[in-house]
Amino acid sequence: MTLSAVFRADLRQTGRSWRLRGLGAAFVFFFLGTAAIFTTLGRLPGGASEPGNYAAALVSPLGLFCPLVGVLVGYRAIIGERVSGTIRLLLSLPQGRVEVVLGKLFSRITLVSITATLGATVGYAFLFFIGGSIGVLEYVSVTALAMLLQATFIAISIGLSAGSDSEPVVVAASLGSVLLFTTLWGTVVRVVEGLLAAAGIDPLGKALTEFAFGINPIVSFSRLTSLAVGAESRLETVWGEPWFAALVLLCWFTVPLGIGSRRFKRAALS
Amino acid sequence: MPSTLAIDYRDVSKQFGDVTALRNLDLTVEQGEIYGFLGPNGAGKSTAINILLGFFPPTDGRATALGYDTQTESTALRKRLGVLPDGFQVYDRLTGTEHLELAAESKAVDSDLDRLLARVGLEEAADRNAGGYSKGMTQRLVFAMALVGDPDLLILDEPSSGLDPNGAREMREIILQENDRGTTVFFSSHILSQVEAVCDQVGILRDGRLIAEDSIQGLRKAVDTGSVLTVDVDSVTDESVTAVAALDGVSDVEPGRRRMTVSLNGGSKTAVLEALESTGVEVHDFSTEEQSLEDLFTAYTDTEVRSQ
Repeated sequence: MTLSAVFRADLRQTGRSWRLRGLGAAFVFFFLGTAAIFTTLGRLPGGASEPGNYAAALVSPLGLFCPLVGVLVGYRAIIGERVSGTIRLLLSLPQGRVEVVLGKLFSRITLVSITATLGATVGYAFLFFIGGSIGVLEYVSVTALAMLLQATFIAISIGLSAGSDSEPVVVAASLGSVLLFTTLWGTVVRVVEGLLAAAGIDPLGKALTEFAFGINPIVSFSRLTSLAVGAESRLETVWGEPWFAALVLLCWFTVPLGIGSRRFKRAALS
Repeated sequence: MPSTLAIDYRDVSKQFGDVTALRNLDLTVEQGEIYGFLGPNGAGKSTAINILLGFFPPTDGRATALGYDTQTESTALRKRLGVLPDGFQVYDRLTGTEHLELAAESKAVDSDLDRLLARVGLEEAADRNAGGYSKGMTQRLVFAMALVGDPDLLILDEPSSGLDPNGAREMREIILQENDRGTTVFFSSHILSQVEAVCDQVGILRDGRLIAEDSIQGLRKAVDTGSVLTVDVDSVTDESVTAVAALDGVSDVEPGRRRMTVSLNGGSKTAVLEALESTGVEVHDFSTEEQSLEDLFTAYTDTEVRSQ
């Protein structure tokens, strides 16, 4: 299977990079830092969860950190090889282009999941040794879902990386996607709603607004974690259901990647 | 069943925006041949090779290799190819051995990778990251990758670039050994001496057109510049110059005081000497010089010379 050849080569090439080591350090720093702040303040800044629950408090910062890490790990996957010329070496071998995209996707998800697990373990050990109590199941569920969110952003950025032949476009679109989903999404939905209202169109009904908010992968992540940490869902419509959140994540994982792979398959490598 | 051609370009054209990189290229390479694809830089050699590798489709026409369509059956085709592409970069954090592992795993073959590395002279550097390799070493490394799995067709784009003369000679030797094994070799070059040394057949590309295709000997015969005859005489007279210039197959006469330089286009040197003697000039000595391949190449690719 040729996918495994790309997977292995990328695991080596990317795994030995300073960027990845930096990310490993960032993960350790993130979990240690949040654990230290949590034990000092009893909560995390910006975290709206109930006091005393570290796993629940982590949801919000993980929702910022993991998309950013995912994008940083993914965006150069294809475009970087096109710019440097290593892709010509790879595609002179009997490699399909879609296999190249998938091999890189799996390799990078593996690498980042390992570094994330390392960080999470260090954070847990720290809390454990200073005597904090932490529900293992909750903690594992939240970090596992965070890795899923992270994998989704790796897939989004690799989709972008495969879909364009311009590195600046890929960088802007990848970082733009993080900005959009972490901070701008609510504003965008409100603006669209306002514009429609101003145009005399009946403002989106409650269900539609919730749908619009719900198709943000980070919102989906946070809703899925509420299953694990037992927070109440404040939504009454079907768009607040966990299955919908899972479907949204799945779509964000597959659709940009599919479009990007398709474009890469047809791209001229000159 | 007719034997499959190793390479078959049928009326292939490639347009990049306003630039025409290839014009109606018709070119075939028989299995077992060593084919030298010659031309100055920018003539379209790499474009033609990139179409073979499926990097982009031709604008018009069709190219097949070993019976596979280069666009729709590219992956299957590349299983049987060994490629040294143009403009590649190696993975800086993979070792030499790991590069060959990538090639072997991609081709799903078991090869003696250490032996291959030794064959291209990289055994000492096998476990070092390729990021620290010199240009010549990366060229050897990718050549070794091309040899993984005993390919049926080797496609080498400017294989000797970055190699010292010794390295280039070693590479030529390996090319010949592979050819003895039955491998067809298609390689591009702008350096004639390489082509002369190994090729059965040569195609010359200029401005995206195949302007000549023959063996080196055939090309030499076909091109209208043969050899240069230098004759030392007692004295050069106007009459002798006219007599020699009037001969068939003499393209140019440069008279000196006691020496005449005659460019022959298939004309016989005996006829020149006889013509000189018939005008009463005494011939002391003469020498001929074969037209060099460089001159031949220039004759084909220089627009000044070949303007029609």
